[in-house]
Amino acid sequence: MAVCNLFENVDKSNVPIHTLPIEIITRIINHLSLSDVLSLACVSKIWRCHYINQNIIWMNICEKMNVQRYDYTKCFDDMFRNNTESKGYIETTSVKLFGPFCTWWSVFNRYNMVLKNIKANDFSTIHVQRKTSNLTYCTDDYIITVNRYKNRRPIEATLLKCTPGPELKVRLRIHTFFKKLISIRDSTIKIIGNKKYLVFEIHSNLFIYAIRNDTFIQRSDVMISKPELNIEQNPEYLTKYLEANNNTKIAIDDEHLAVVLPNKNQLFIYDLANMRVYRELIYSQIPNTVQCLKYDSQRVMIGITFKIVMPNDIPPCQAIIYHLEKSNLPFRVSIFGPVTQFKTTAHLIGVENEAPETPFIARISNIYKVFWIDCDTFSIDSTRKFIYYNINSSIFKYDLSKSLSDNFEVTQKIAIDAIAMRFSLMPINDRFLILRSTIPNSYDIFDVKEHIIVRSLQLNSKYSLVHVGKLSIIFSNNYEFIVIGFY
Amino acid sequence: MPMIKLQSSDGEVFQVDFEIAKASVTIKTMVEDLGLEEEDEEIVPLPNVNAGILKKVIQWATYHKDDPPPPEDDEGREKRTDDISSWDADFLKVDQGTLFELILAANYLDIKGLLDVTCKTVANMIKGKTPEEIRKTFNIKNDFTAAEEDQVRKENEWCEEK
Repeated sequence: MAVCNLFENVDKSNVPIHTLPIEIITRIINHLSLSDVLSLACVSKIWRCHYINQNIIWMNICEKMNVQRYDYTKCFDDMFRNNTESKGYIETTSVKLFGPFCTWWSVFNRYNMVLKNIKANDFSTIHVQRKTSNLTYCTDDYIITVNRYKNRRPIEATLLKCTPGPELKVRLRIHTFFKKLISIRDSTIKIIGNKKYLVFEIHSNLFIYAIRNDTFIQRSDVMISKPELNIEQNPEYLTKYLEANNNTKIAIDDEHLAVVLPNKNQLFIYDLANMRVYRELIYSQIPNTVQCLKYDSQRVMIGITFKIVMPNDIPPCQAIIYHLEKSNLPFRVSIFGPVTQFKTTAHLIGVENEAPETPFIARISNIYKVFWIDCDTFSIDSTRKFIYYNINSSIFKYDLSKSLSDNFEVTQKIAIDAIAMRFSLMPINDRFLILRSTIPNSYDIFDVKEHIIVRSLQLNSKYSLVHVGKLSIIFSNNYEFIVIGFY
Repeated sequence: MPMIKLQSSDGEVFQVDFEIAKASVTIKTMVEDLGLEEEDEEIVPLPNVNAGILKKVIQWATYHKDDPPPPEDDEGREKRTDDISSWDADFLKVDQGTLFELILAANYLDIKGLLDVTCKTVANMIKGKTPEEIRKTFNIKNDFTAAEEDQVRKENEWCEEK
């Protein structure tokens, strides 16, 4: 800018910048890139410890990088690796010299530590024995296994810790009705959880556990769709009841749970703290099945396929998006393939589906803008403002800022023969993707900034990838889980 | 056209078209609270803004009187600093003291458009500069000890995603 040059020479009669109130200085800083913010922190003590050390600044930086605070809290709980100064981790010395970092700067530091660890191949690997189980669910914090045929406490949780040592296993207490539903061979069990809650859904029956200090506390059981007859006394009706409620989907966002009942076209939002419904919506008027449900940052995304036969030119599927804090009216995008995944950043929702035409929905100043990319799967990098997508085994890069601002699409092929067919591009974070290599049973971690593979993981044929989180990836076979931690 | 009288901190009175003065949420609220009518002789005191700065603010508000209301600071909007109009850029070719006083006035008078453009101008003065260049630009004293300076440099270098 021409304006900048005017101020190259210092006017000694200046009103010092420090006379501006902190909220104005913060407003100025929020216009700056991370690199400029870091330069400002090097200017003087008041800038390092006061003006830059503010949650609002680092929250904005984290948001731009798609970094969520709760994804990294595990690193706060366990300082084992963070305290190892020999690894070059800077926070310990900085705290001694300048006092504590604000929370969001610390979150950013931990995100940065994960990036460094991945780049340096500095991983911890834990093997967790897997007993006979019919169903598993993994997060960065725990592994849940369900054994339908175990009479006593069929659900087990293994808590994953940063520190070395034997993992902690916990058997969950369950109610009789829950146990009965689990033991039914044809029942469909869905599990979803985060750091605070673990929820099981079995044919519209919810079983909720609150997670506090490594314990799973049994909370409410909710029968969303009550049976018309007594199930105990009418075994034939039980099958009918299970079938009618088979397609229910659940998704969790911090302390809230979204439940979609396709047989009634209803969407419920529950407050998990008290299990009260605080929002109830009809998401469609046409009979449908639900393939996918995601709930994050007050956005509920539902992927449906209509049950009725549509004319040839009308897409049979729909992505429905609610911004709950703004309106009860959804935004709908018609698509030709059933939704397989919603992939999101703070300002963009991508709808991965079985058809190549893939919509991306940006919400800018309350206006939805939709653009399309033809691809098999994709991953969004909000740090550098790219979408990485694959067509067959090649990876391409789509420049979001140029395409959105100039309406001129800029794409670049960045890798050829990089991935196995039919495997979704899975982001660990904005910087690294996990890919299934073209070599059998091999997975690669791909650095999207450098366009290189930083690590290949060669496994036996029986292992499959069961979890990709911000702090770990987990593989499993019939006998064990291999937890690769980046923290 | 209804006019309003604004008095600066140093006693100077400016007669301004009310529609222009309404760019300031503070003035608009004061007028409503005081129940002032058209052609009222009442003077609105602005004790935090001197005559020189108030004159500049009025000049800015007059030029931008037909602008649509500035967008809210909401989600999805990239915080750009390269979208300052050439008129604003020329208008803000002032010394740092005046620029900071304009920011303080825009903040006190609650004129979002002026606050945005002045803050962006200061942000542009920081962008791409080294810490030493920033110190020089704003006349800031480096008060780090050698150990502290070494550590902030490490913090800067340590960052993967600059």
